[in-house]
Formats: sequence, structure tokens, C-alpha cells
Amino acid sequence: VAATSDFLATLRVLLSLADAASTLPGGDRDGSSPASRAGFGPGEAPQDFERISALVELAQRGDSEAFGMLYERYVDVVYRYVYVRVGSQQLAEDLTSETFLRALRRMDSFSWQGRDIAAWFVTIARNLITDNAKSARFRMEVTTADMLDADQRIDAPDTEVLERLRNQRLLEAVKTLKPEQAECVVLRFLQGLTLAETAKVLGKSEGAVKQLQLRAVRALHRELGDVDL
Amino acid sequence: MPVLSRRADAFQRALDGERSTDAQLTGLLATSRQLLELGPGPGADPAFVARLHERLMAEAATMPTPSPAAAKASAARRAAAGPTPVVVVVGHGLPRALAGALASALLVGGVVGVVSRSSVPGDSLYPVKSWLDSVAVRLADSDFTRGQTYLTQAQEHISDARDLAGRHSDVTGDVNVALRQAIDSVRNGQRALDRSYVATNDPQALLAMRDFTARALPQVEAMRTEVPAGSLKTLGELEALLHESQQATGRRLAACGPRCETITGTAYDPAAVPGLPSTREPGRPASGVSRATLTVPSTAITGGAGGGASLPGVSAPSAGGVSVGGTGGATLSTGGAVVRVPSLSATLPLVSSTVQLPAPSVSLGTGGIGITVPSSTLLSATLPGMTISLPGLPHLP
Repeated sequence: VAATSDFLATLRVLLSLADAASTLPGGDRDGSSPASRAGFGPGEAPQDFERISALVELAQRGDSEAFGMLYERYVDVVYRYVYVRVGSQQLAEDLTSETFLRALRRMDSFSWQGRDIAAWFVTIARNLITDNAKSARFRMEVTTADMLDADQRIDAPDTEVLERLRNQRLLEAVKTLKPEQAECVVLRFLQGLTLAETAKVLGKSEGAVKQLQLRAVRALHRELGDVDL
Repeated sequence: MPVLSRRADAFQRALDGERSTDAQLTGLLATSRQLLELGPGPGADPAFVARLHERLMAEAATMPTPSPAAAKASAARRAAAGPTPVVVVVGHGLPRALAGALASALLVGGVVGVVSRSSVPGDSLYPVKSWLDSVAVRLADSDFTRGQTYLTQAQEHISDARDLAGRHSDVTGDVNVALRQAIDSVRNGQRALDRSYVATNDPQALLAMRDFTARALPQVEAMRTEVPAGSLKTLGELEALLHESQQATGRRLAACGPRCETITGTAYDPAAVPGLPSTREPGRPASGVSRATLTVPSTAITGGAGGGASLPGVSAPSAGGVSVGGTGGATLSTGGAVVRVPSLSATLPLVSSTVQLPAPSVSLGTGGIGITVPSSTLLSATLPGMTISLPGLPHLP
């Protein structure tokens, strides 16, 4: 029985790898806005946790290729989170590098479930930012212009101005949220982490994150409602 | 925060794509959509991503490959870290509130039940005790255990009456309540034990009654000087009832013949047990029966130690000895505790009258042992295989 289950496990890993090889390189970085990744619901896209778990397992056994695939998959999530918080490309790159180097060295001590690897990466980054900033408080250092210029979509010129104004207003509103709410919004809506991943990063229960996101969006809604857009 | 929690759930479901007609939610959803459209911010420079990839691969190459043993160890570590404490999550909103209310009610009920055990008539918690008593009776699975439960409760009522009588206030009404309840319990107990004897022909039922009357009568007699004058009539009733029961039981035991003799007829001489006090006079053997040594299981060997070591306020002599009986269980008699494992029991003279253990607790009272699970005495395990010969008391007619 043990031999059979071992064989099946190996087969599953091979299948996952074949699947991963055909889809992973390059990841979904090109279309990695959370909206495209998740449909509408942030972060709730059916992700093949099975494949990620298999990669995590391989990486833990010292398979550098597997770790490379995980890196390709999540480097943008980590970089963007860091960038939003530090607002400097150089610092964001340094901290992202440090995050993955640290993860590589500590891979064998990773004891969360395989599918939580994204939350683990972000948590490492979060700790590094805290060390760097000497304060655990969440702050959005990214400028509104930087944030919005990242949006590559081409809109019709007449709507573009209006939408940019609206987005500016929204971003400013996010920055005025309580630190906890702001971080929740960044992780859930901007970075598109799942509820579970966000809960892991924040060290809260999923129920608590649900309440946090509700409060945050309510506050934003009120704030934006005052200015009729 | 059940309301907020419900709203938070509804909002999450709406984010997941569930349709909602709630105007407020629709507004929040529009704001969420706007947030999503903001995008995640500038992505990483592809050149940086490629450089870091190379650096990581180079770093990985210098790292020692984990040996299979190390991999196994880390897998074991993961497995050990895996199981987290099981937390039962009960629904949301109303179901959770109900579960919370139920748990609180159970907790409060348990505490009230435990506290009520020490209440006496007139106390605010006494009705709880009475109710628990009736539950214990209903939980009894046979006439025999029901009868024993009644007798245990009768003993408690007698003790209550004594406690009340010792107070320096007008307690006549409360003492009468306790005595009335003692009378009822004795009657019900005798009835149940009689039914049990008729149904099973097991003399243990008769012995339980005889033991009880032998224990209770001295207490009731002692109360004559303690109770208020207004309670003397009721006390007299109780005493008469006990005498009557004792005689009736004695007659039945005598009529029962040889079958009962094996139980009542062999006596183990407790004087032979080192360290046990025996004040029995040499010329007056207990029960006036022949001595026997330990015999086979199912034959009880009774220890009859006359003793002057009375419990506080209890005039019955303490008993000690070793008994061998049929079934397992535990019992206690006035002045002593009997711990009974299947077919063997030991009677120990006991100084304290109550032993409280963490729930479930075993309480040793003057009337019987109660295995008390929090909130009620469910098992009354006064087993009659153990008889205590009380020198100087009328034993068998």
C-alpha cells in the first residue's frame, strides 16, 4: 500500500511538473493584474494549489529548478508589495532579492502548507521592510503618480482624465486608512492575495480579515461618496 | 460582533460573485471594483527579475543538497507542525449565538448544580438540588439502584435537618421540609427496594434497607434534643417509619432463609486486622454468628467493627474491615468508606465525612457514596453486600 501511494505521489508530481513546465515560465506576469488573475473577486481564482504544493515539496528537497519556478511565479507579487510600501525601485529590488535569498536558504524550514507559499514570501518581505523601516506600521510610500503610471491600459483620451482623477482620489483615500485597513486593501485588492493568504500574512483569522476588508471598503466608499465622482 | 460578522460574510460572498440586491453592498462592490482597477502598482523590471533568477540559481548550487534523511526529518517536522488544535467553528450569526448561549447555560447550570449540592431547605438553590435529586432517581436503571438513590437522598435530607437544627434561628419550617422529604425518600426507597426484592429475589435489596435504617436511626434519635419543638412530631414520624422499615426488613431477611444466611451469616472479624480499632466486648460477637474467613466472591464477608470513633455529629460507630462481594462499585457507610473492586472491597475507617475530588467526584457522606458528576449525583453506589454489624443495636429479630 505504501509503495502504491508513493508511486501515485511521484506520478502526481511528474504530472504537476509537466503542467507547470507548459504554463509557468514567464508565469502570468504579463497579465498579472489581480483583476485578470482573479476574475472579479480578488484573489479567489481557482489556483492549482496541487501544482504549487508539488513545487514546494520539490524545492524543499533541494530542487533548485522547482524553487526557480516558484520564484518566477511570485516575484512580482513580492516586488509590488514591497514597492508600494517603500516607494523606491532600488530599495524594492534590494528587499525583493533579500526576500527570495532568505526563502531559498530557509526553504527546508518552511512548515506551512504548500499552497501558502505566496503568503510566506510576502511575510518574509514584510519582516524585511519592518527591519528596514524600524517600524512595524504599514505605510504606503508609493506616490500616486508611480502607482497610476504603472497602469498600461490605453483608454479613450476623454475618459482617461476623469478616470485618472478618480483613481488619484481613491489612492489618496487608501493612504488615509488606518494602517491595518490599508495593508488589507493592498494585499487583497491591489495585490490580489486570497482571503487565506491575506490572513496568513497579517497573522489574523479569515473572519477577522473579512471584517477588516469590509471596514476598509466602507471607509473608502464613504470617503469617495463625499466627492461625487 | 455578529452583525458585522454577517455583513463581512455577505460582502465576501458578493466579492466571490454572489449576486446581491442589497444597495449598500452594491455600492461597496463598486468601490472594490475601482480598487481592483487601480492595479498592483509597477511591476518588477524584467532585467532585475532575470538577474535575481540567476543569482538564486547560483546560490542554490552552492547549497548542500539535503540528504534523504534530512528531507525525511524536515517532512516529519512539517507533519508534526501540521496538526493544529481542533477548533470547532459553529456556523455564523444565529447558530453561533445559540451555541454560545447553550454553552453558557451548560456552564452556569453545572456551576449552579455543584453549588446547589450543599444547599439546605430555605436556601435559594435548594429547588435546584431537589430537581437534581429527581433527575438522579429518574436516571436509575433498576428498582434496586432507584431504591439506593432514594435512601442516599433520605440520608442527605436527614443531614440537612441536622444542619438546620444546629442554626440559631427559627428554622422549624425548614427542618420540617427536610424531615418530610426524608420521610418521602425513605418510603420511596423502601418501595423500590421491595419491588426489586420481589422481582429478583436478591437479598441485597433487603440488606440495603437494613443498612440504611441501622445508620439512620441513631442519627434521628440524636436529633430529638436538637430540633425545634415544632419539628418533634415530624421527627417522630420519621423515627417510627425507620423502626417499622427495620423490623419489616428484618422479618423478610429471616424468612428468606439459607439464601440470605450466606450473606448475612458470615462475619469477618475486624479485630484481626491490625490497626483497626475494635471496641467489641469479647462476650458479644457481632450478629451472634459464626466467624468465617474470606470466602469466594459473591459471598460477602462483613466486617463488624464496633467503634467509638464517631463522625462529627454522627453517633453511629465507624466500621472497618475487608469485604468480599459480588459486583464492583463503591460504597460507604456511616463512619467508613468502602472501596469495592469487583469481588473485593475494603472498608476503611474514615475521619472526614466528605471527600471532594475534581469532577466526577466521589463524595462520602454519612448516608452513602455518591459518584458526583458535575451538577448531579447520578450514581448512587451504596452496595449492600457490605454489612456493618452494629453492636448494641437490634440487628435481627
